[in-house]
Amino acid sequence: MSKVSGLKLAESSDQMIFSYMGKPAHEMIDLILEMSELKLKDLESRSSIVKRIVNILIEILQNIFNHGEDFSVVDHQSFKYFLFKRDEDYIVVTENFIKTQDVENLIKKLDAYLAMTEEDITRVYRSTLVNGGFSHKGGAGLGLINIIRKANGNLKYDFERVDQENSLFRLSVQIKAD
Amino acid sequence: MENFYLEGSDKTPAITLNAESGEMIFSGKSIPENSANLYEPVMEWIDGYIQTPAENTTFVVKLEYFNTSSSKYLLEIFRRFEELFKTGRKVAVQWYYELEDEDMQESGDDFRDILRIPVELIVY
Repeated sequence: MSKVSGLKLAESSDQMIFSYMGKPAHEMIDLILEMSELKLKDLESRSSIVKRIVNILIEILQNIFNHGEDFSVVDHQSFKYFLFKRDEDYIVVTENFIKTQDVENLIKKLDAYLAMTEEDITRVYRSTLVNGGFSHKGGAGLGLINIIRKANGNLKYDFERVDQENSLFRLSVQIKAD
Repeated sequence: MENFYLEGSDKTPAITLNAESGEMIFSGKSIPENSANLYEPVMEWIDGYIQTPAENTTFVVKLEYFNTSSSKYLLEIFRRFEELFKTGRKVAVQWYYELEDEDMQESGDDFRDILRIPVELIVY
């Protein structure tokens, strides 16, 4: 799957489970995770599906908050999070600022991982776990690989350049419930 | 040496490291933003333990969730036990996962593939 221009966030028939818009702050991760898990448990009887979604949410949110700070254009709605139910599937959409200079590298990485087979992504995950070392931000690049792996590659993304320094990064991850 | 105990929280695991019995237990969630704060003291204790280890060391992992930075530290911890294993000591990892929890099963498979110590996957 490659870059999708003008990523559509949701279909009109999607059921909104939980949303958050606001300043990115570490304290919000706990609240978003807790509320999302509570709502999911009400909707979904299969605990394995809830766990898979929460696993992906942990990775997505911690990835954003570990890498998406210190921006000059951060405003009161600079981070957006939506969790939808679409038929039997679940969709997580996030929107956050990243540095424009990092966009090209992120596109390269995402496209390379998304082009991989399930076996390839497992191999890359394991080799990054073994050889990746510790980055000062904690994850050593494993987070992105892990999200794609757990979502079986059902990920779309989009970038919007805001100015020379800042771009918006939109991510949509579909978790299939079968 | 003194045993190591850490109470679990919403984001951090309960940890029991028993120097006498050689049983190391991690349970609950391990999703801290800063894994170093949690795991550095654990690594320090383990570095001391492997100087005078028990006859058998069993590592019991019964985690509900863990994030990628925790997985890096888990690997670092297991690597230290790999060294112990190479010297002829008995070392085993028991990796528990809930029935149908494919993610945790997959993580157990990852460690079994990577490590040179026995990793047993156990459904509960």
